[in-house]
Amino acid sequence: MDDTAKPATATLLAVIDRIIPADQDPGALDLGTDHYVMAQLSSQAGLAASVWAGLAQLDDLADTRFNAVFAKLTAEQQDALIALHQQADWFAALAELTAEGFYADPANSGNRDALSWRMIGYQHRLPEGPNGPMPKADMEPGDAP
Amino acid sequence: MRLDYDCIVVGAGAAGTIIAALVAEAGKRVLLIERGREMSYAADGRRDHLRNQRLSQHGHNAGPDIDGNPRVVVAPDGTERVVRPHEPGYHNNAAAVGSGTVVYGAQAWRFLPDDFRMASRYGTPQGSSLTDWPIGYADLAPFYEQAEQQVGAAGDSHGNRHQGARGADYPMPPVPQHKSAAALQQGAAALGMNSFTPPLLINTIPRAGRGACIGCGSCVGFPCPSNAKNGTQNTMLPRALATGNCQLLPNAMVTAIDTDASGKVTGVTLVADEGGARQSRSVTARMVVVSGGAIETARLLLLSRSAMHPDGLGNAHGQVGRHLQGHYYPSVYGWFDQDVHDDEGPGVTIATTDFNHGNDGVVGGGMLADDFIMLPAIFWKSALPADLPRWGRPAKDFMRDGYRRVLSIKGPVHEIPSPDARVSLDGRVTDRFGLPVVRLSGTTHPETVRTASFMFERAHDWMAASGATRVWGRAPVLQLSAGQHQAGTCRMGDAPEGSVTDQWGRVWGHDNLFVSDASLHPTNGGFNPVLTIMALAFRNGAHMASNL
Repeated sequence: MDDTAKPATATLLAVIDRIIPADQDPGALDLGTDHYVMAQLSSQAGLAASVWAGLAQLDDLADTRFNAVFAKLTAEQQDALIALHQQADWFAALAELTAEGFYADPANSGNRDALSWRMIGYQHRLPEGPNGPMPKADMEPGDAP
Repeated sequence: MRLDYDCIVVGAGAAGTIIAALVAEAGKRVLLIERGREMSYAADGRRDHLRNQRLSQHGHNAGPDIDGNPRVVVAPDGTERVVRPHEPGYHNNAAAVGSGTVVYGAQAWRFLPDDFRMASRYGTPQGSSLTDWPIGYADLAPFYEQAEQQVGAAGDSHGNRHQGARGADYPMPPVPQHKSAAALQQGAAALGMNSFTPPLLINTIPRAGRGACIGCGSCVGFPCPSNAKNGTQNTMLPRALATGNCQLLPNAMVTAIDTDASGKVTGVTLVADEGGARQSRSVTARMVVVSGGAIETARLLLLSRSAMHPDGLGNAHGQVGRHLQGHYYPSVYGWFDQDVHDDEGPGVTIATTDFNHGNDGVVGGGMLADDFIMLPAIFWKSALPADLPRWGRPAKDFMRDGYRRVLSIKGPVHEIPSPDARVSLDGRVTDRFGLPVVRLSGTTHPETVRTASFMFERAHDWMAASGATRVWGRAPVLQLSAGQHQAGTCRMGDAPEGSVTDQWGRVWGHDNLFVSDASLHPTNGGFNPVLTIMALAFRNGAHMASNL
């Protein structure tokens, strides 16, 4: 899969970065949540089309207002443009996917080393680790044991 | 495989497995058929937080298969949609050996005496089908005790001020109370409420050759890591199999109950997965017990049409599939200025039954309790206030600061059933076997929404009195309710005109066809219904065994 070939991928990553931003704790991009989001979009064609269309609108808006692509704006500028779209269905769906990946079990590939759980204080208390018993075939590289 | 039995039980869930054990222990040959597969913690215990029976956003882990098992859902405005098993509106029950008892939270409530006589106590609201049970609490009490003792319940035997008379205490001490219980106990005391630790079918101490709960807190939706959660698959099924009289047939779907030319039930037709090939077989028996859950049990009776029974079995009076009910779950969330979360599961630690009956101006009521440990993804999807943005710092701060500071109070409301909330057969959509699928239509009676709204306010009051600085939740709205607590579609009664079975679950007009699951419940109590399903199975199973 070569998502970087899509012109709006940089925009998608920038938006995911603002949906769950890094601060004293990791953000979505730090935990690989973009991988979860990409996988979901690749299996939901209708949703993906609306997300890509929405991202294109964000880039148009960035060009009109700031004469730059969305990904190159400051965080404050990006948040201001996202706020204009936060009621849109495509953005709500993208934010929901991002949160799903970030807060779900690490084997869903958006919550590396279960670090979001450390942030919020959730303890899984399972003997095998955060995913529970995993058939070997389901293990992804980088899964917590 | 053997093709003739004394008794065929369709569905190895909460009730069917108990029936199979009792009949097999009485020396009769039993075939226990289950559409789902056997699950184990080692093979099926993976904690996929997005694909399980509690949160099935992208799939689920305990069946039925996503493909080939659709239903048609008719909205109140008449629009129809086809839904798959993991999607909203399907009202799924797990397809597995043990069914929902493999993946449940295992709250083990007895109904209260007045739950069995709702019409006598409150009258029957116009347009509703509220009715009394044909049996009372005293009839069921000895069998509640059998379920508690033999499946294995842990609880506070004397804490519930409103409970009916009981014999033996729970065989195990209750789950430990936590920080959450301390906060809510204080609120209950301030309001003068009776509160206590709720009963669960979970080993709090090693028992019956299995260990105690390790407190993982992900009971709901998943198999148990220490096998301490008592479902029928690890309690009654081993008993049934130990007799040598019970054959378990998983991965097999019963497509019809067979009758002869006189209309007498002779057995079932099933389709089994045998080495990857589908094999259709007819199996005969002297008795057939349908235990597929309130939706699929009704469907199977309706599918079993013949010249003698043109509208399906037991449906001469048009009652099969009606009065579908489940539970409204008014839920509130409260923010505390200190950590009120404990990591140790199961998480349900405190309950009250003060509002199940005797509430001014509404019919019935329900139990209220705190919740099981919420997985972070579930917390995200259910616990956030409606006005909180779902992105940026506010959302992240809420999760970071709130996960350990937010409590939930919720509870099942005793529904006021409507005859128009129903399971019927769809005329157009078929399943993987080409059989008409379930069509779900109607809503609960509007009185249920009034009672649920009342309970929402009581939950709000309790949360606020416990020190929450902000309380929020979604007010109940009129809708169809069924879900994992589905009930009522083959109600038992005193006469054939208004019911499907007699008080033993025997289908009117048939001496050898029984229903045994929550389909029988004329009303569904203001509690999680599984212990009542089990108690009825102990009662009716003994009756069936003695009649074979």
